[in-house]
Amino acid sequence: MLFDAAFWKSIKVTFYYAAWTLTAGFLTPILLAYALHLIPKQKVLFRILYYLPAVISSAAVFILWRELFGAESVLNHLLRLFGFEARRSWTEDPNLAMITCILPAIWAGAGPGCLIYLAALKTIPVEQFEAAEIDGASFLMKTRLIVFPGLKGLIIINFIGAIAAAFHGANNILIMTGGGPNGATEVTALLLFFEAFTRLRFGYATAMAWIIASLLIGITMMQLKRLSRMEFKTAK
Amino acid sequence: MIFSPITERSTPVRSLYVALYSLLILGAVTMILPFLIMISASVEPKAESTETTFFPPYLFDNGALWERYLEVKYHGSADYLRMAWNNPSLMFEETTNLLNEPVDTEAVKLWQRFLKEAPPDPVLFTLGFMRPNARMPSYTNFEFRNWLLKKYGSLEGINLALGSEFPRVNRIEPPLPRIDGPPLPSTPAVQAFVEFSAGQPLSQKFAWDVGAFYRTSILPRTVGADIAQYNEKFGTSYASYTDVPFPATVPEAGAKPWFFFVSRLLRTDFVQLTDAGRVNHAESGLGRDVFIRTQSKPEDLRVVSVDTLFGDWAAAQGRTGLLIPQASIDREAFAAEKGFWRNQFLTLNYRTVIDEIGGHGGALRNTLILVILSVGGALIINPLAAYALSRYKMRSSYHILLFFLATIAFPGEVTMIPVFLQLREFNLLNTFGALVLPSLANGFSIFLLKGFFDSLPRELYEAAELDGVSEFKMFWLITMNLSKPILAVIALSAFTTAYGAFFFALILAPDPSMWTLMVYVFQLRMSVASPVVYASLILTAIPTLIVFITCQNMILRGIVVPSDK
Repeated sequence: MLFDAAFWKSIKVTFYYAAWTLTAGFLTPILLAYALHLIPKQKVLFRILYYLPAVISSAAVFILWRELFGAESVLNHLLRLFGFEARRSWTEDPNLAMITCILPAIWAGAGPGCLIYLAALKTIPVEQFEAAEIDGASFLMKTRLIVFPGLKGLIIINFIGAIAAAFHGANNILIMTGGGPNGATEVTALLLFFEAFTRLRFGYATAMAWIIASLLIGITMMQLKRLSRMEFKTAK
Repeated sequence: MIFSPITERSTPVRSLYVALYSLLILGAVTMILPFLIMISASVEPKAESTETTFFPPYLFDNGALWERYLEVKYHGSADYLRMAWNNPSLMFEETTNLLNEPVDTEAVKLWQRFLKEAPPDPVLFTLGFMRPNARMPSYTNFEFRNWLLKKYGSLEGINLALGSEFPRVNRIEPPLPRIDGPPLPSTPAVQAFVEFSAGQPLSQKFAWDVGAFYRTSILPRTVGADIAQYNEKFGTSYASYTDVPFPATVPEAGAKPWFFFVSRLLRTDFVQLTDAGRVNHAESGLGRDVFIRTQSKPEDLRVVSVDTLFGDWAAAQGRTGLLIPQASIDREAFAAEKGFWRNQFLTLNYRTVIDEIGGHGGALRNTLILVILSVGGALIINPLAAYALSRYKMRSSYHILLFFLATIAFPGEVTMIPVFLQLREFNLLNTFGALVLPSLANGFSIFLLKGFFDSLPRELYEAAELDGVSEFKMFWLITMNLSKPILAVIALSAFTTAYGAFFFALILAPDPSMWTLMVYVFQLRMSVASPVVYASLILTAIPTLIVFITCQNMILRGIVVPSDK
């Protein structure tokens, strides 16, 4: 396996995919929660609207988006309206295929993901903001000095879950592009799925699973160490 | 609030609000649009719609409704539409603009007089609104099932009377009449369908227009798509295939294609034997159908169909060459019934899904039990593990936690097969145990909970210990009580996982008596076209949405978050 070019390529694709998911996909719920926390009115309405994608099964979300990215889709019609040359399906373009796999996940994950941050934001005592206001702190200063420290612990905890999820993202890619075009979106988890269930090489697939798992455990341990240091500080 | 009421009115804060609201509204639009597309697609009566719309196009546009009405009426078959309208190249998509063509009232009047004075055999008509091969719900099928239920009382009664073995009422398919091929066999099911058809209104039927079918489908395919090829071959001078006559007995010009069609393709109960034919048939000693198909001569055969009968009747009234004015009949029927069909199109796909789920008393019960067990289990197991790790600082608790987290490092595809084998070893397949146990303890939930439990004030436990409160009471009254919101988050995710599981649920509990709602919906997806799939997605999303709307405030009420100061 270690001498299999397909495996190393898939590892590369996995890191590329994880990098995107962990930046865009991880930050969106936090920013959304902050925005929902800041606005004075219609909080519940927006909260429900953004949660809508979570009420349909995740497979359905990706099937829906695959339609939207198709060659004759609404999206391409809109692009053509603005004078762009948009004739082909997004999922078949090697440069865009990865985006088509990540964007729906961000879209569907923002609403459910922001709930916990919203809850956390509510716990930040109002007095801190009042005090900051009296001291003449700007919005950015409040964000940096009050809001961010309030969320930091939660962000680190959730980041561990997000890493695991980012390395397992295979279902959405299977539905959107099936690993194509030309392996541009074939992450290791998907390669593993193909090995196990279409080529029926279960031992080979398990070996791959161990590689991903050990990688993940390594990253998780690093995170846990940081977390335990932080908790130590909290206890003081 | 981050801003005091006074600063809230300042320009920078106001512009921040404006920016936030515009961004949120933009985002909300992208959230809603796919749902509008889904809802619009879920009420689509066409099996393969190429356009993506945000609301059902036939809701306000009569042309779009008319196109769908025709497609559904003519079994989704362009051949039948061409036959009915006597037009060899018509497509369903082209009918949208043909709604407001004038109605030939004179021909329709003659047609109605003909039906009254010389009513043809009902077998020469067929019911519309059937959808063979389209994997779409059919109005006629629904009506037929209801009619059978009314007549025979129950599924057992139906199966007994028809000698059939339908497992469920919504699996009953009526026999499909065709214009070509052999006549329907005389089984109890066919007899029941004929009886049912006789009671249906004429506006839902259309005549088997044998002559028009010959002109629009047979001739272009056998002689050549261009009328010039026909003219050249048979020495005629027709302007288009529409003008080629189809007499009841063999014509002089174009006898060869007429005979090929009547003897080889046409349903044999549309064919009568002439006097000469009867003699030849008796001599051949063959069965009637076999004689027609193999030994008959052109002079032996006569066609009996609504169009030939109507043509002969009209000729007797002094009107020669009259065809069935089906396009005008359709326009009049549509004008009278368009509201009815609009409602049918809006509900038919949903009725299919409801029939599929509601037909299984067990599906809803199984889903409810599974959800209660999963949510209840997740709310007991995970907090207990996290409490032990949080309360007692064992030397190895870090490693235990790491072990828990390692379980989420393996993708579900890898653990699926070992889990299956293990459950089989324990004889747990086809039980709720199989469905609940594998996902009961969640490493990440435990990790999350431990983090929250750690941040609860130590003093509470110390005070409780001084008061001699038991450990369980501490767990219940302090820890659980203070962690309600995070527990609600965990309950919500346990609910969505248990409610939405179909693939794994099918593998672990293959027995239909254990299937949940989602498994049935998943099974349904295999046998229906995408509009019904969309309808099933929307219907099954409703419980999740209700749970979220009722829980969302509880989830957000004062959560305890670890933070460093």
